Amino acid sequence: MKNYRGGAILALLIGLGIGATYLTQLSTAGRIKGQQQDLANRTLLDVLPTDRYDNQPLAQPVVTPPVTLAHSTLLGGYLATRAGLPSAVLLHSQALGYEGSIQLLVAIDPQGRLLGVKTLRQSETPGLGAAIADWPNPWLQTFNGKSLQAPTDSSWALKKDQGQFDQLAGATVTSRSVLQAVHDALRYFDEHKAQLTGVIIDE
Amino acid sequence: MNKPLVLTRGLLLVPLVGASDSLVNALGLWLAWALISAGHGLTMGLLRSHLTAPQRLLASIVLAATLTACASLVAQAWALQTYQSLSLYIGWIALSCVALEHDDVFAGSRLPERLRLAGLFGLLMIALGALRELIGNVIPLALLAPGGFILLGLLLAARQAWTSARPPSTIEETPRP
Repeated sequence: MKNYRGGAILALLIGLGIGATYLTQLSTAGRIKGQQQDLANRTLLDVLPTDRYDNQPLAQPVVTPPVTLAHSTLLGGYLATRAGLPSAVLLHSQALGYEGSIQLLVAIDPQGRLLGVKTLRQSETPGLGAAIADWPNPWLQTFNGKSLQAPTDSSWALKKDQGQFDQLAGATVTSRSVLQAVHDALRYFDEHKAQLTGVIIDE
Repeated sequence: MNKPLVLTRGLLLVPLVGASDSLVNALGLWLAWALISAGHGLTMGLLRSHLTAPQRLLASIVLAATLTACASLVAQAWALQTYQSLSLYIGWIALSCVALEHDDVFAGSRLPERLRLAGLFGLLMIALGALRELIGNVIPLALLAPGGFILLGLLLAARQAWTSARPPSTIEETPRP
C-alpha cells in the first residue's frame, strides 16, 4: 500500500518539479538574455573610456565580416560616436596564436591612433601567453597611441624581429600574432577610413 | 554517532575553499545553500514517512534538482555577475541536499545539529571570504584555491591552539599567522 501511495507522491513531485522549473525558465528567460547582453556590452566596451561615446556602438556595425587580412581575420567592426561625430572605431579581430585562435578588440580613434586593445578570447599557455587576457594589461597598453605611420612599418615588430616592441616573456608566438593582428587592424582602418567613420555623416 | 556526518562535512569543504574568494560570493553561496537545504529538508520531512527507501532517494534527488535549477535561473536573472563565478557550486548545493537527507535517514532528523552545521558553515564562509578579500589585495595567492586551503588551515590551527591553550593557563593567546 505504502508502495503505491509513495509512487503517486513521487510522480506528483516529479510533475511539480518539471512544471516549476519550466515556469521559472519561462519567466526569467527574457531577463537573463538582457542581463547577458548588458554584461557582454560592458566587457566589450571597457576598452573605450565611457566619455568617448554616447551611442550603442555594438548596434552600429560598419564592417561586413569576415574580412581576411594579412595575418588575421576581422570578425566585425563597430562605430562609436559622440554627439553625432565618429569618436572611435572598434575592430573585432581574430588571429592564430600559439595554442589556438586569439580574439582581440582593437579601438582606433578617427585620426588612426590606437586607443586600446583588449583580449576577448584566448587559449594560450597559462602563465605565459595567457597573460594577454589580463585586464588592464600593461603589455597591450604599450600599443596605445601608436598608429600606422608612427612607428614606421619596419618598426611594427617585436624587438626580436628588429622592431621596437617588447614581447611577453616566454611567449614570442603569442606576442607576435597579437602585434601583427593589431598592425593589420590599423592598416585596414587607414585603407577604409571613409567607409568606417563616414556612416553617420553620409546619413 | 557522528560518523554519517563525515560525508556532509567533507562536502562542505568544496565551496569553503572554492567559493570564498570574496565576501559577496561567500555570503551569496551560503544564503543559497541555507535556503535550498532548508526547503529541501522541510519538504522531505513531510514526505518521508509515505515513501519507501528507493522512492525516498529518488524524491530527494528530484526535489534538490528542482530547487537548484529554479535558484540558478533566478540568480542568473538578478545577479548574473555573481552567478558566473558561482555557477559550479550551485550544482554542488543539490549534492549537499541529497547527502544531508541521506544523513537524516541514518542518524535521524536532528534540527539543532542541522542548525549548528549551517551556522558553523556560514561563520567559516564569511570569515574566509572577508579574510581572503582583504589579504588578496596584497598577496594574490590568497584568491586562488591553494591560498584558500592555507588560510582555512591557519584558521583551524588558531582555533585549535585557542581551545587547547585555555584550560591549563589563564593566558588566552591566539598565535598570529
